[in-house]
Amino acid sequence: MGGKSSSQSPNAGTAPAPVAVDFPSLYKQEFAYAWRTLRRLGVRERDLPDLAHDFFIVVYRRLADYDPARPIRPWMFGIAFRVVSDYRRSSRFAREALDDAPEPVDDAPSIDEQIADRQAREQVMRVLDALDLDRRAVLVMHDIEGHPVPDIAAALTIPVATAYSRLRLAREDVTAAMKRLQARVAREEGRA
Amino acid sequence: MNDEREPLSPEIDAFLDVERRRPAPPPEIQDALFSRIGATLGWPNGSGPGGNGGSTPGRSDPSDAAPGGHFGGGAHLAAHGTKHLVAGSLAKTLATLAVGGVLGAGAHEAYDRTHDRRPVPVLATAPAPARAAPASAPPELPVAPPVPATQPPPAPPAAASARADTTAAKPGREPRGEAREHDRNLAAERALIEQARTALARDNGAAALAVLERHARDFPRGELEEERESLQVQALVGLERYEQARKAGARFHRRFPLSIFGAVVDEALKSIP
Repeated sequence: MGGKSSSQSPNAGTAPAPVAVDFPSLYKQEFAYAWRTLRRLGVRERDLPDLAHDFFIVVYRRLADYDPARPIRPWMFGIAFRVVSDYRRSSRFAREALDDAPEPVDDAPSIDEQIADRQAREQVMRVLDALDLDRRAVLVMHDIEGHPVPDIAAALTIPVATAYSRLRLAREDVTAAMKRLQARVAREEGRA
Repeated sequence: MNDEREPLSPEIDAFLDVERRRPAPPPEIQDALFSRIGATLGWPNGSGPGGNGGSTPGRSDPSDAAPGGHFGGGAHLAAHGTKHLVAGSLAKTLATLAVGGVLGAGAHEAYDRTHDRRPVPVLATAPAPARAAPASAPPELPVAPPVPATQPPPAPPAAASARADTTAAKPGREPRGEAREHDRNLAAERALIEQARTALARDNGAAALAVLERHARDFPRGELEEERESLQVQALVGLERYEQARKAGARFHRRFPLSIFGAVVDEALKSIP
C-alpha cells in the first residue's frame, strides 16, 4: 500500500500484550502522537495545548475502557477525532481559522531545511483543510499514520466499507486540492 | 500497513511524507501540559497520579508525592500561574488556597473513584513521565498493576453488510453520548472552579464569587458543588462579608458534615477578626 513509511505508526496492526496501561506512561510515550494527530485533524497551532489537555483528560477518564489486547493508537485516535469534532463545531475554531499561530521551529535541522519543511507541512495542512473531517480522519490514520483500515473503522466506529470509501474520496479530494495548490503556486510564481 | 486494496499514488505519498516527518513537540510543552492535566485532575504538584512527574521547574521533591496521594501541596496554585504572585500580602490567602486546592484535589479524586461510571485505572506505582518518546519509538506501554478493562472497545462492524456511505452516522455519539456529555459538563465545572480559585489566589474575591455564582446557576447539582461552597466561604471572608461567610460556613457544614473541605472552611472562618 502506498503511504508506507518508516515513520508510520509503529504499532499499527500489531497486537500488544494484554496488559493494563497506566496514564503517566501512556502520556509519556504517546504525547507526540497525540499532538501530531490533533494537528493533523485540523487543530490550530495556538489551540493545540488546550485541545491536547482536553484530549488527555478524556483519555484518562476512559482508560478503563481501553482493551489492552488492541493497539492503543487507533483507540486514541478515536478519542482525538471526537475531541476535534467538538472543537471544529465551536465558535473558537471559526474565529481563529484565519489567524493561526506559526508552527514552532525545531533547533535540530538547518534553518533552510526547517523553513522548507514547515512550508511543505503548511501546504499539506492547507490541502487537508479542504477535506471534511470524516474523510480527513481516515486519510490521516491510513496514509499518514499507517493504521490498517479495519483498525480505522473500529476506532471511528464506522463500517469497514465506509472507511474504504472515505479513504478513496479523501484521496480524490487531496488530488484535487493539490492541483489547485500547484496552479496557485504557478500563478504566484508567474507574477513574481 | 497491512491492507493493500487501494495503493496510494506516488504524488500523494511524496506530498504527505513531510507530514509523516513532523517533529515532536518541544519537551517543555509536554511537561507543562502534564502539570496542567495534573492540576485539572487533582494530582500532587501537577506531577502525576502516582508521584513526581518530570521536569516542571520548581516541583517539590519526588518523595513528597505519595503514590495515589493528593496532598503534595499547591497543585492547583502551581498550575495556574500563582508562581507569579508576590507572597507578602497574599501569603495568608495563598496558604488557605493551597490547603483548599490540595484538599479539593483529594476530595475530587475520591469522588471520582466512587462516582465515576468509568473506573479509573490503578496508577499508584506508575513511574513519572519524563520526555516524549520519539515518534518512531515502539509504544510498548509499561504495565500498571493489573486492572482489567471493564468495557471492550466497540467491535468493528461487519464489512460485508456495510454500505459504503460517506454520510455514515457520526462515530461514537450514540453509544457514548451520555459519557461525553458528562465529560463536557465536568470539564466546564472544573474550568469554573479553577477560575474561581485563581481569582481567589489573586485576592479578587468579587470575581471569584461571580464565577461561583455562575457555577451555581449552570450546575445547581454539579459534581463540584461541595468545592464551590467551600470556595464561596473563602471568597466571602476575603471580601470581609463576615456575616454571610459565617452563614455560608454553617450551611456548608450542614450540607456536607463529613466534607474534606471542612477544615478549609473552618480555617477561613477562623481568620475572621
